[in-house]
Amino acid sequence: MAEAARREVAQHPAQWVKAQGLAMPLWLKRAVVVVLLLAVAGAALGPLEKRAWMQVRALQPELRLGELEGALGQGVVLGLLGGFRAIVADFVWLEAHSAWEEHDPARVEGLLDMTTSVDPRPLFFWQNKVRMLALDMPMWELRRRGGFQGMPEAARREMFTFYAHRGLAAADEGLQFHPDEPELIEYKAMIYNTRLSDKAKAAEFYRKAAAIPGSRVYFARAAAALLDEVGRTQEAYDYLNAYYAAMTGLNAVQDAGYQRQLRELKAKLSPEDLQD
Amino acid sequence: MRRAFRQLWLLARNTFVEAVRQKFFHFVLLLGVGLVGSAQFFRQFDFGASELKFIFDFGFGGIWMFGSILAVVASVQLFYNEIEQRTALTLLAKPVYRGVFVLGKFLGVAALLLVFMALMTSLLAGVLYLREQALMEAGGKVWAAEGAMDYQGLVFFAVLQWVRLLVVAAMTFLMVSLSSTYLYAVIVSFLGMMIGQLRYLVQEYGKEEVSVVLGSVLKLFSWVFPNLQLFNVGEALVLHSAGETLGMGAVAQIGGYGLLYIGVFLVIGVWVFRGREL
Repeated sequence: MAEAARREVAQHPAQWVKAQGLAMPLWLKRAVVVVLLLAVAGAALGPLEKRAWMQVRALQPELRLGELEGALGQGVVLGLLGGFRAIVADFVWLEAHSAWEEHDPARVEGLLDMTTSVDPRPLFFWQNKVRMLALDMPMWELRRRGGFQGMPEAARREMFTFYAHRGLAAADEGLQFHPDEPELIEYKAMIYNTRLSDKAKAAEFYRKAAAIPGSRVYFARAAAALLDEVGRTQEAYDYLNAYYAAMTGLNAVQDAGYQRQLRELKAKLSPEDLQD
Repeated sequence: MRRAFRQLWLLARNTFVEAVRQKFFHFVLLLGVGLVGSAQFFRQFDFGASELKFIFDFGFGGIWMFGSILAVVASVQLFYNEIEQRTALTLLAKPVYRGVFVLGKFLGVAALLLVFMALMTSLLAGVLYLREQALMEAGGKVWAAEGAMDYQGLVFFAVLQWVRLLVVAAMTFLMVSLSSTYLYAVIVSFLGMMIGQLRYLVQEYGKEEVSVVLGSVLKLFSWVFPNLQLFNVGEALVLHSAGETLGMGAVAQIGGYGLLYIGVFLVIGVWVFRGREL
């Protein structure tokens, strides 16, 4: 009997499978074949797609983020919202601004994060995010805790330092999308100077900002002034002198400002040259 | 052969005429026109991005959204109408080959999408041109050098978007060949389109260290679905202020990729439809 069954399976395998109820339904067979055919076609088209994709990807900075999580997040937003992400981000920004007027730090921060996640392209969002985190929120916290009189200095300094580092982190995040943007680098310099009292670091960032073509005229002067304040006057003079020599297109007021600062630095270096 | 071409032409023409008479098409067109036209109003809410960039992004976002709805729903509707009304049986008994039937329907939908894209792109180009002129008058030569639009690039971009919509339509035709109900075909087609939009993320994730099994699954996934994000090249083609441009070689590669995928979906769709009982 067993021998007869084995012979039947060997001679008519498809009918045996069908009789046992093991046959794949037709729709499933078709679906599997379709998937396989698409996979073969997709693999064949892979090299063409890869060549084109490398060029397209290079044009989208939000997909070239170092962290995979960030890149995936941006990718989902870009894939689903497409051209509408700008308007969605704008409305989220309006909501964030409304929360800012109410001095609600948790809501402001959440909405700012959402704004820059949805559309990281406008520099405006990053500038305001850095300012709100580093400058506005510590003042709200200070008022909440009773102002300068109500809060001990050590606690106040710790609180300002905390928010300053939040602002710096936001600036670093923004620089991933806008690497050649001098204003974000300037904000870092401003935070180091006014919130963290690290003038040397602030000077370093002002110099970085000044080195970018098209940056503001006063960045180099600010760097030199801060270097002078930390006792590196010779370095300040050499830097500003070289920068001024290479500059073009200054108006009369700007030119006079540079010359005055150079004279002041030079006077500090060699007092006998004070009289021109 | 000549008869097959004539049948193809007749089917495509009748499909196109039937489609443009449908209220759904008028509704989608009206919504699209309204959205593109309102880009001028919504620019009041723009913060930081250049005006023309915002209008361009918003306009083409609307065109893509309504275009993809039209591509899916019109394809399913025009196909299933023939089957539900039994006119497909009459046609196929003429005889009209099943491949000619599917291809004719697809060409009709392609013509519909071409009309849609042409109308919407013309409207958006008009809106952009008027705003550009106003900005140039206000900003002068400095603005003109930095912010001008590339209208030739806009035409190429519109053609690429049309090809992208055709890929979605061809994918829909494949789903329709497999599906037995209208609603199922629409839902699965929209899902396929969304997966196509997000599919490039699978490639990015696959570059990370993953297990062999997961890596194989991701690879299979990336082969089955087309990469629709490849067509997202508006900034490089149209906006000079973007700084970087895309060469015609890359545009041709993207267009070629789309056309090849259309062919793949249609060939497989015809093969499935040939084995289907009506």
